[in-house]
Amino acid sequence: MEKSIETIWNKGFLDSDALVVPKLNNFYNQKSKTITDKLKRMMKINIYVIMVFSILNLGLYAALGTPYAGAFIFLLLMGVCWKSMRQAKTMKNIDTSLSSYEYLKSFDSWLKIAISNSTKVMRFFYPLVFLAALMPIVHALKTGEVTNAAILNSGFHLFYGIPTFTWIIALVIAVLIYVFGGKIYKWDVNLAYSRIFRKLENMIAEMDELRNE
Amino acid sequence: MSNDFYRLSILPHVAIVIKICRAYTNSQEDFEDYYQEVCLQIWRSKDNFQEQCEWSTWVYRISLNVCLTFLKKKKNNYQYFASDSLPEEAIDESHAFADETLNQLYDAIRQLSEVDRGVILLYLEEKSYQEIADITGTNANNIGVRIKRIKERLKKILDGKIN
Repeated sequence: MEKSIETIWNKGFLDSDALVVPKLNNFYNQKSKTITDKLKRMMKINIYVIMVFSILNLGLYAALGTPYAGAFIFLLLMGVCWKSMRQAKTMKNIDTSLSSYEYLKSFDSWLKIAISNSTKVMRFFYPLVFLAALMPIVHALKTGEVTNAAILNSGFHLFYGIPTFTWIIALVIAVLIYVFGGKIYKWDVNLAYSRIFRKLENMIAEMDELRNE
Repeated sequence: MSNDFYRLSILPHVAIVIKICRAYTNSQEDFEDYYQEVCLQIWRSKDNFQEQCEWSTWVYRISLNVCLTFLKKKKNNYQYFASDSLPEEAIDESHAFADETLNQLYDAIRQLSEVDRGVILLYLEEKSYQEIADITGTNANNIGVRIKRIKERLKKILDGKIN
């Protein structure tokens, strides 16, 4: 190499045409593409989708003859929305004008806390929704003449009009969902965001090294 | 964003934004997206500006942070931290500047890690070690050593290309 990088840099930018300012297109309607803003928008959309779904679900469960189960799922979903809204508010603490290290660290901590909180909620949410979702089936089995007669004549011990062993199987599945709920949620999150996590980790590790080496 | 804010607060420092965005992008389209995003974030964060540092230092911070966490939409997937995949696609940015040697230097800078790219850009902009440490949030004592290593790496890359 003949020239130093400093010379290349300074000489290259001496030319006034070296820096062409791009036009700002449709600026007022532009959406931010940073990861924090993208996550904010995703959370907002998720909340709206959950709200609409929970209302539709309420009607569906009422039509299936189990309005109480529908109301229960509605309340669970509203709880998830409330939690997500609170989580989204804390994202305001991530300030773009911090130093790069502080910015990446605060984003990383926010992400970890958000995932940890959601994991706790989802561990209870998944099995409870699973059990509530069984209610229309239970209702259909009990009200259907043929199925009800078959159950009554089966000789099995019954609980709430349904063979007790099926309740036990459902409970075991619910417990398994609870046990693995955290892992299922983390797997789901990793599927979408593993690259971000890895990249963030690498950048923070490199900055830590630069702070401490 | 009011035109006045863009004209008075961003345009005088536009060189910083362009130089940083160029180092983190590998196509003209990406570059324009990053530039637009940086301007947007500078405007959005203007109320957080405290006069403990210079406006230009603050612009550096936001530009770097935006480039580090930018999302580039690619086909049906979001590609996070877009600069992650630069080497595979580094094509048209090779001719972003009229000066061919400057293009080669930029190509070499794009081969560095995200953090090193930020450090060397600040160094080339003649920021002091303390200023570089303040902007990146690292330790001024280590910046000198790191810059030496980065320069050696850049020299090797450039020598490989030129020779």
